[in-house]
Amino acid sequence: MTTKQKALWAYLVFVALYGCGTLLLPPPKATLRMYHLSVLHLRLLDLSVIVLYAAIWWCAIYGFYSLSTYTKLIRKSKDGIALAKITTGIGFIAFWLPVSSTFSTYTDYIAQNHHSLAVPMNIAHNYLSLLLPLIGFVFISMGARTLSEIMKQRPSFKALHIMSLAIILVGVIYAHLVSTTHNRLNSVYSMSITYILITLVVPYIYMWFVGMLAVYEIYNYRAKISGAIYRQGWHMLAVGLGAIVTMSIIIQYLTTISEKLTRLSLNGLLLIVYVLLILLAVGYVCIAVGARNLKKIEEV
Amino acid sequence: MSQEEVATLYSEVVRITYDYLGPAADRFVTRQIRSHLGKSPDELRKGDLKELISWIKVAVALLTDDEKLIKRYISDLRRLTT
Repeated sequence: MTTKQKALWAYLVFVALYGCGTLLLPPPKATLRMYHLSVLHLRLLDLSVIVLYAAIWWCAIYGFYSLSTYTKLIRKSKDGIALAKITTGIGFIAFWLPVSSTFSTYTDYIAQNHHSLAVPMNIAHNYLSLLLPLIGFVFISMGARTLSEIMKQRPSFKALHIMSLAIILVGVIYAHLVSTTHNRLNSVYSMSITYILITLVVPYIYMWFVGMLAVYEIYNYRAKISGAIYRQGWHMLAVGLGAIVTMSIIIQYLTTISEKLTRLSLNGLLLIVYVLLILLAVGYVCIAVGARNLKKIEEV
Repeated sequence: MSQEEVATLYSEVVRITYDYLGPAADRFVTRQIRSHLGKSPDELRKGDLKELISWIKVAVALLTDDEKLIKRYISDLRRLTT
């Protein structure tokens, strides 16, 4: 089976699992009550989300596939070694959304019908949502560091200080949001605050820092590497990688304050979700376009 | 022509190409020599340069629309023929 066929099959399996889970399982009564929806109305909304998710996952898997194809062409060179690590990272992030969404569709249903399983299901979902992007970000940062080494250039003193300040700010606000709402600790995390801070908050903040640093190193590589035509090819790739890392951080951030988001109207909530997911999809499309441009250099 | 001169000629083409194709330069030049001249990079001779440059011009035109950039690259390469 070729990589293209594997990617296509993985995509179809996730769309089928998510679609069946969302449309065939009984609708959650709490959601119907909270937003005053009829079952038909909820199913129509579900269908719109399935179509949107299917489109976004396609962009993600296509972006990952395009990047893999380019990486295979240059795998023995220095930039190829760096890009192989970045591609692995992008793969983990590309599959993070379908895996996480499909997993929560079924575990939410199990939790509704077996209350004793609600807490373990919630905990499992929290760690799964953390683990996949964490591995992905670590791989991307390893690749970005290799790119910096090719240029023999480390992040500047000023950039490191700005990033440190930004991550401290983001991290402190995040830790505050996580630890201050009792309801959220029950509904989102189902664990003690100390345990949450050590096993969820710290890895998230670490992952965002690693992601920010990787984005900076990738942009630095694109801006300073020799080769006017090569740089043009890298432009879209760098924009796409930057968008994916940034959007992943924002999505993770918002997921953890989901308790506050449930206070928004349904339209407001859907707007936020759609905009974020579409921006994430645009990031993957940029990666696909950038990889295609760079691939051309290796094919002519 | 000595082995050293041949190696220098190939690395000169790569060095000039590096300014345009960055880390892809080595792979690009090797591919052009192998596929269009049917030779390995260490067999490149000064007499092959004219044909190689023509092929490189065609290939680079597929990668960018920037005419000025292509002209500069080709003119840099042509200096090697003199």
